[in-house]
Amino acid sequence: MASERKAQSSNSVVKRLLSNNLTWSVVALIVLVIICTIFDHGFLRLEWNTNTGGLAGPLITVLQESARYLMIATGMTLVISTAGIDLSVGSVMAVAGAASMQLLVSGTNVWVAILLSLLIGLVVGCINGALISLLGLQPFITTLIMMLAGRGVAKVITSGQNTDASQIAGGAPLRWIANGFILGIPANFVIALIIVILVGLVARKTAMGMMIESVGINQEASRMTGIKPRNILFLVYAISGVLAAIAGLFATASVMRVDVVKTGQDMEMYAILAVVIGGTSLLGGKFSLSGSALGAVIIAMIRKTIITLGIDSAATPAFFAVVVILICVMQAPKIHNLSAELKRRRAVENSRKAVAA
Amino acid sequence: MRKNMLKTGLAAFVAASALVSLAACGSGSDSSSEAKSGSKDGSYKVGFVAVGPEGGFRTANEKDIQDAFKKAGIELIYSPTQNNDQQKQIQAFNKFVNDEVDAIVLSSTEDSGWDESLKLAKEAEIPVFTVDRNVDTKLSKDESPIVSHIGPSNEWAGEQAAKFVNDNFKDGANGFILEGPAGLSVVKDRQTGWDKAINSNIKVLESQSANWSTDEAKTVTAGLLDKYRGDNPQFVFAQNDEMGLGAAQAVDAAGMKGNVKIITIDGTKAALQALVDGDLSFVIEYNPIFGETTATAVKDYLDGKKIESNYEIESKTFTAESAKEALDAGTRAY
Repeated sequence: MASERKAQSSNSVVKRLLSNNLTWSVVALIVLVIICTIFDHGFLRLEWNTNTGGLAGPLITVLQESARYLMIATGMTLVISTAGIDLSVGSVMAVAGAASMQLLVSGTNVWVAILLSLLIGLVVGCINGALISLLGLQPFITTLIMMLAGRGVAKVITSGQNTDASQIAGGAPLRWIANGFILGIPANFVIALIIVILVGLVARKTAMGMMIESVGINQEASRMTGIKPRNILFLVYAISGVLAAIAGLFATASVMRVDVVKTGQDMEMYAILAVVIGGTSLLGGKFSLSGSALGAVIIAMIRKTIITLGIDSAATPAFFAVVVILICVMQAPKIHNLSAELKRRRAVENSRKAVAA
Repeated sequence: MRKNMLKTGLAAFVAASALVSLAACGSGSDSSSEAKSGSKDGSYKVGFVAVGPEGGFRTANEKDIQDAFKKAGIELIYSPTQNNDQQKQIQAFNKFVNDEVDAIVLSSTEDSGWDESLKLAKEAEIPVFTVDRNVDTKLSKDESPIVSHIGPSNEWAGEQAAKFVNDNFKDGANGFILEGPAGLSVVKDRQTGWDKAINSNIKVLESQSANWSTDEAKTVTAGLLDKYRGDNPQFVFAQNDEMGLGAAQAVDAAGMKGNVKIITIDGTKAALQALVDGDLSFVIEYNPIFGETTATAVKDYLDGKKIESNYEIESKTFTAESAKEALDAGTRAY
């Protein structure tokens, strides 16, 4: 009897694990790593690089690359859980990156340049937030406009040039943020992780997360329970703006050069994909920051897989799409319930036969 | 609730109209030019279907063309697209045909897909001059309005890169190629030039696209260096400067600076500086300064003089020394 119960409980643990999105994300990540290891036997190798003062290896570059996705995916998670969307993150990355590079070139102190760039991200986020929360504009249209306008602003800031600050000696701290190491681990990944954890603590240890979700489920109802949906909406877009600016700094500081057309290009799509992989509903009302963080790492890992497998450049978007769809299919509850559904059907069939007999 | 809906509707309308006006800005066409300005008074009106802000090369190139036409006394209507959107270029082209300009200068983002627009121009008897990138058309010579192509040769640039690698690695070597976005004529032509000239003992381990982007090139190169660390890669041929600069940073981070020769095409100031600093090994110029040639060709053709069907603009190649000279001279516009 006891052993039966034990089996049952372990069975339910397995069941719970199987129906958890996070599990499938981890599985997807491991599968990708295994595929890469098959193609490149040294994929898991880690070595100490005395040149950079940190660990080196394929996995380390994945972590380095994933920092920017972590930032925009975290912002996007909060926005999406209010049933909104922020399409401007890629452009904000370009604006913040352009501002920081241009300021450095014009001789501004590096810390001032960083702060001003973050401030610009905050301002864009606040404009989004104000238009959406105060005027009640549609998030899709508002942030779409900001996406178009932002790219233009980035071009105006650098007067259409790809500003290069790699020669500026004072830019060393910024370069370190994107390329340096803390205890052998990429600094940008550590910074990104700390920020994600901070946002997670604020969201889950206070009532904030619940308020965000309730606004996503029903603004009117949450207003009646005493939550101020306007403030919440404003806040999530502002946060998304700042986080996108940080991502922009990571992306440009990595090469100390802003590319006004390419920096942050398609990033809004990657952010949305990371959020979806993480199990946050696009309809709002429910979010998982750890899921999105895992999704962000998976996005970086897929890009790494493309390079490791040497997939033809024309086929990379298709490859990317197929992997994402596969992950989504793996996570679909319908698929998880498939075996139960089949069992039920068989039982119905059997009972019908029995009746007929 | 109802008030709210009204508000949302209004908001959507405002937003939509903002979008429309944005789009209108993008095509930047000249609606005031209803009447055709003939060549009777000696002044020509020329439409310039351009690429718009894209980087140092493009800015220098389009500014030079605009300046040269101004100098030649020809009115040039500048119509840039955004983010390499060919659709906007086609719209601008067709609008120029409708406005019956005297000639069209076409700097296309993509080499195919122009047949219908070219037919329209031919019917309207408007001569078309392609600059920088050539246009790939199925039309025969009699059906096509294209009278001349002006620009540096991408194939030549690819050949120079291959020759540099041949000369430096007489006993053979392994390396990578960083390509631009798949499908562009520039990418194809630079690759063709390379393939034509490269020695058989030079092995390209892998060609990957880094989409002209510095940041992406760094990631891709780091990945390739990891993947082929046992094959002793000795060169990277980056099809433009931006990607070469990214590759240089990846090579530097891997502690292989000096062991891997990086070759790039374009010749922007940043690349020349990197060449002087030893981050790059060889830079092939893709000369953007051909406004004067273009303006003269257009003017001569409209004046009824005979012109060539192809003007190949001469470009230079740079090593560390010549790059230093060029930078010290301080005359480079981009």
